[in-house]
Amino acid sequence: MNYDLRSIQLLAGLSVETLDTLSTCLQYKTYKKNGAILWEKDPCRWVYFILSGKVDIYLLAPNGREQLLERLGAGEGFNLVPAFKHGANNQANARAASDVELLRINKDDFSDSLECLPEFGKAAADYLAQRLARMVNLVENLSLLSVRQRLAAFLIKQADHHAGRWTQDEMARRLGSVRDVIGRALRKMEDESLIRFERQRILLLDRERLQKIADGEQ
Amino acid sequence: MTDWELPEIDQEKCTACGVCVDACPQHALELRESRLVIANPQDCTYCATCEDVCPHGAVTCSYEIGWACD
Repeated sequence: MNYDLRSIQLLAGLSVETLDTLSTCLQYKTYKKNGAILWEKDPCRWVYFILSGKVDIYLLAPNGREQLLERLGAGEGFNLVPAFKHGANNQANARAASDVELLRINKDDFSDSLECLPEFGKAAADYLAQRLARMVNLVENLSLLSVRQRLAAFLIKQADHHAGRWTQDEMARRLGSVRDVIGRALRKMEDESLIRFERQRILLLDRERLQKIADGEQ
Repeated sequence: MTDWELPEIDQEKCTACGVCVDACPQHALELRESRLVIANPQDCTYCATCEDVCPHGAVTCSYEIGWACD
C-alpha cells in the first residue's frame, strides 16, 4: 500500500529517520462510510491518522442526541489524548463520514515514540495545541452564541474552506441543535436573501451581513 | 462542484414504509420489490421533502456550501 507519511500533519515536518522508525509501528486500515471506528469509554488501544476521507468525532447524550465535535479530513489525527495517559479510555466516538483510509499506531508504541523520538513528541504537542484551540472555539460558540449566530459562522467557514458536504442533520449535530431548528434557520436566511438553495448547493449571498450575524451585530 | 446530485438512500435503515413516496411532490420515488428507488431522477428537484418526512433517517440530502460568486 503506497502512502505518503508526510501527508499526515503531525508527521509532515519530521526527519526521515524518525519517519522510518514510526513507519514500523503504523498499520493501514480502511472503513466504509458510517462504519464505527472507536467508541467513547472503551479502553484506548489506537491512535489514528487519516490518509483519505472524513471522520466524525462525536459525543452521545444519554437521550441519544449527538454532538458533533469535529469533522476531520485527510492529514488529521484523532484519539491522541487518551494515549498520553496510561489506562485512559477513549474520550469520544469516531465514525467514518465517508469511505476512509487510516493509519493507526498502538497507543503503547505511540507513547514510547513520544519519549524516544523527541521531535515526534514536540510535533504531537504542537498538533494538540492546535486542536485544543479549536475545541475552545467550539465551546465558546456553543455556550455563548445563538443557533443563528453559530449557523452564520459555520456557513462562512465551510464556504471559505470548501470543506465538503453536509446534511441538515449533520449541521444540527455540529451546531448543538436539532434538524428542524436548523432547517427553519436556513429558510429564514433564504427569505432574508442571505443564502440561496440551488439544488444540492447552499450559496451564500452576503458575506458582510452573515458576518455581522455571526458576530452578534444583527 | 457536481451538477446533479440525488438524495441518498440508506437501504439498511429504509423499512419501505412508503411515506416519502407519497410525500414526494414530483413523484420521483417508488417502491420496487420492497426497495426504495429514485425511479424518475430527472424529476427530482432536491426539495428534501423525502428527508423531512422519513421517520427512519433513511433518506438524506447533503449540500455543498459555497459563495454565490465562486
